[in-house]
Amino acid sequence: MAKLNELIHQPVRLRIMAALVSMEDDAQLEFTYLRDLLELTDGNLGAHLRKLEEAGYVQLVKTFVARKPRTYVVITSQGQHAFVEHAAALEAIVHAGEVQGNDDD
Amino acid sequence: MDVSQQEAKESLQAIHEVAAHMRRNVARSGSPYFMVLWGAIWFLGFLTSHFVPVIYHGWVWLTLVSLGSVTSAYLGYRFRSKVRSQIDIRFTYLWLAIMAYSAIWMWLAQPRTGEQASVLITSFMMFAYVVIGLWMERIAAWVGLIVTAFAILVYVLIPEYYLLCMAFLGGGTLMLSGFYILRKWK
Repeated sequence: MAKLNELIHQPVRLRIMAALVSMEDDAQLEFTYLRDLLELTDGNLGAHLRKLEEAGYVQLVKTFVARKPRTYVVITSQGQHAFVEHAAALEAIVHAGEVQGNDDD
Repeated sequence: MDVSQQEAKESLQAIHEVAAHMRRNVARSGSPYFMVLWGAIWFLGFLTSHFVPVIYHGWVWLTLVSLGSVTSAYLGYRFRSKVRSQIDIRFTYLWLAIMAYSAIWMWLAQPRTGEQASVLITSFMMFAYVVIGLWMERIAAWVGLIVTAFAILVYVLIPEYYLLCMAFLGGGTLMLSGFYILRKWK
């Protein structure tokens, strides 16, 4: 049975992971793009990304574009598996609740 | 870790919203701008070609296509700096392949008039839209099919107005479709 993931379940991290998973496997999102999309501050996004990176769920790629430093965020295969499992666990909870609700009726 | 059914529902809702927002954002940031740009180029190119002597057609199209290619490269670079993905490379290769095959088939078919060459080129370009539509946004496939049908019908039925019709039907359809996507996904 799929297990909930406490690290991913935090609302901001859940949205970060959802944004990354919704892209192609190899897609890299620019830090400021992700920040604006999720309406977060630099510090807030940075802190959550560090936690996800420590868990091995995302990778931060630092590079230069037109001589300006850019940070890209890419989800790892470990992160994808963890997110899919967490989403499946959430679905199971919702489904179990619905089944129980029908039985009560 | 305990999560209530309500909390689980809200989390799933948040996931779906972010994923949908993300897909819209990425799709909106690319193709509609290219559609508007190339629609405008088609409109100006065909309209000008209708009114100026044939001898100038080559220069008109060379100028407009060069302008369009430079602007497309700039737009591609601008969007690519936000989201990097293998699909960008595949799109570039698709357009390069279409252009290469266009040149080969033009050489093989040896069209006799400007209108014949134009129908041929239009069909190649619209074929690329159909392919992109099958991959990404269905509207691009519809645009490809509709413009191809327009081009063939006009060429067969009223060839003397082909260039003028393509300015409005071809260029206009591309521009309107681009504006429609931008508005729909705003």
